[in-house]
Amino acid sequence: MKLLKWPLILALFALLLFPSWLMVANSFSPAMGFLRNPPRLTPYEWTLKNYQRAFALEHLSRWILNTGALAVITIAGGVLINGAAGYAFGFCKARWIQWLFWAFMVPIFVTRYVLIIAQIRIVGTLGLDGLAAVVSMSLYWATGVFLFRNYYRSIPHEVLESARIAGAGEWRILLQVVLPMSRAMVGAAVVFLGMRSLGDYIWQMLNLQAVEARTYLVGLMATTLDVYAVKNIGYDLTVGTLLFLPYLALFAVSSRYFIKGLQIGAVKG
Amino acid sequence: MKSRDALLLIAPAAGLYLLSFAAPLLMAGRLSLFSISVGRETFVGLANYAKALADTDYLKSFGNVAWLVLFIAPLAIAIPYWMALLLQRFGRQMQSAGRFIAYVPSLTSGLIMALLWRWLLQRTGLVNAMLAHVGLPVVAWTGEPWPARAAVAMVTLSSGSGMFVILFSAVILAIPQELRESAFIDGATEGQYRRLVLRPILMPTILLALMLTIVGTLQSWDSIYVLFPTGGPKASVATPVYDIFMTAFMYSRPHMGAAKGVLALGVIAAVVAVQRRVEVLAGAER
Repeated sequence: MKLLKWPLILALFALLLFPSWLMVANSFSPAMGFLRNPPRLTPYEWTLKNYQRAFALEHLSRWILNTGALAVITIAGGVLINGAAGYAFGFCKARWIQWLFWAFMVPIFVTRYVLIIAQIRIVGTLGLDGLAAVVSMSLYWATGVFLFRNYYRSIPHEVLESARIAGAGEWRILLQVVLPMSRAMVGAAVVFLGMRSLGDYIWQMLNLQAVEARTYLVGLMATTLDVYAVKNIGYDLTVGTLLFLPYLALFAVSSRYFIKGLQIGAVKG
Repeated sequence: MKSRDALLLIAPAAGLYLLSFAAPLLMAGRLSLFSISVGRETFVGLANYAKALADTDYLKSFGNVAWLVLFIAPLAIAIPYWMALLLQRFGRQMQSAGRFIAYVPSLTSGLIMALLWRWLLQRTGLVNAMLAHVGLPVVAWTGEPWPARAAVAMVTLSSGSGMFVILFSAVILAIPQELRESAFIDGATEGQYRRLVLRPILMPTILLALMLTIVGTLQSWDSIYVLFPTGGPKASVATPVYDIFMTAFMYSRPHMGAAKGVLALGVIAAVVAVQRRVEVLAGAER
């Protein structure tokens, strides 16, 4: 077993990375490469054409800006709002507050697609559109409230009691004491919320129809799903690779916190 | 903390909860009781539900999802389980590298993963070329019900279960070292330790992973959207959620979609209730 562990783990890594590797490698393949038979694991010839086509998109920088704005609003708002609720649920022992907590968990089990039909109408009735429509329906995050609550249950209450005695308001305590103290949990929340704002394709697609209003995801996706465009798998995979980069950056920067946060949720939950 | 202070902190989340969850849910319930006739919304009672229950494609979608879960769940849980066990034999740095690699497939957009597989699964694609290479017959992956289901299962599995590797590792890491040592002092072999100590400790996490897999499969959308936009050959692939998506957005029948949605929620609630029950039983056994 001792000797086998290296070949085994390397085989597992290869298996896991295989599809992602195929995507990245073949994003450098010209369209003709995909018509060859038999297919190969690496491009027949390497080219940057697909990337040049993507970078030449007129609104690409605008889409990146839109995504940045959306991510910042979702992350900042999401941490504050869900963190505050989680903190209250973790600390307040009142019976009915705990009942309220379980009501707050119901969305975890309800599929988005059932709600989307009604969400579209509500957004329309309230006259929200674009970024506001996207944000309004994605800020509340039940799993986040759950994780924050578990986290605050696990830290000693005395630390926070001393701050409370000084007479500070609850929101001030949250901003100046509680959140700065819970760096691991906030880090995990940042990754999760970032991934939510980067990956919520269907809701963004339904709300961001205008070309300039699109996000990186919706804009790039539209160029590959366009039924009138010439099919080019190499370009599709280029879009895939480009969409993969922000996640990779997000995960690489904060994977440490992310894993810690998950551990807290898994072990204490 | 006083309840009043707690309420103050919960208020913004509660507002958003009402706006983005409670109100849409109630509205979906209301929509399901109406229908469009001559351009006006009219109350039709439970007629949409009756129609939904008579819709064979919709009923079939629950069977489809059961098959998908049966294909996906064993591997989606076994691979991360073994990987987590294997990783704990390595040093700290290798462990965190392993968790990172396990997570990479989950960072790839599901839609693009499906586009990649659409290419791999073509009649002359890489998968068939590999099958032919070892002397197996070529498969029409998107043309027949069973290969189509297998295709969706493959795409879902390749999007990885990095989350489960992290969950399992977290539980294994939290096991006190003394427990392991005392097991070996009492003469347990490696296999016995794994079977009698590790597996019972990991059981709740395995059940959690199973529930997440079922709920996730019920909601799977992107692989079907790219590979089988109309629900697959003989409606063999569409999950209930995809069927709802088709009804509401492709065929523009939001009222019917809402009724199907409410029915699907009932089924999910039943699955969760059964899972809780199993968890309680499994807990009582120990």
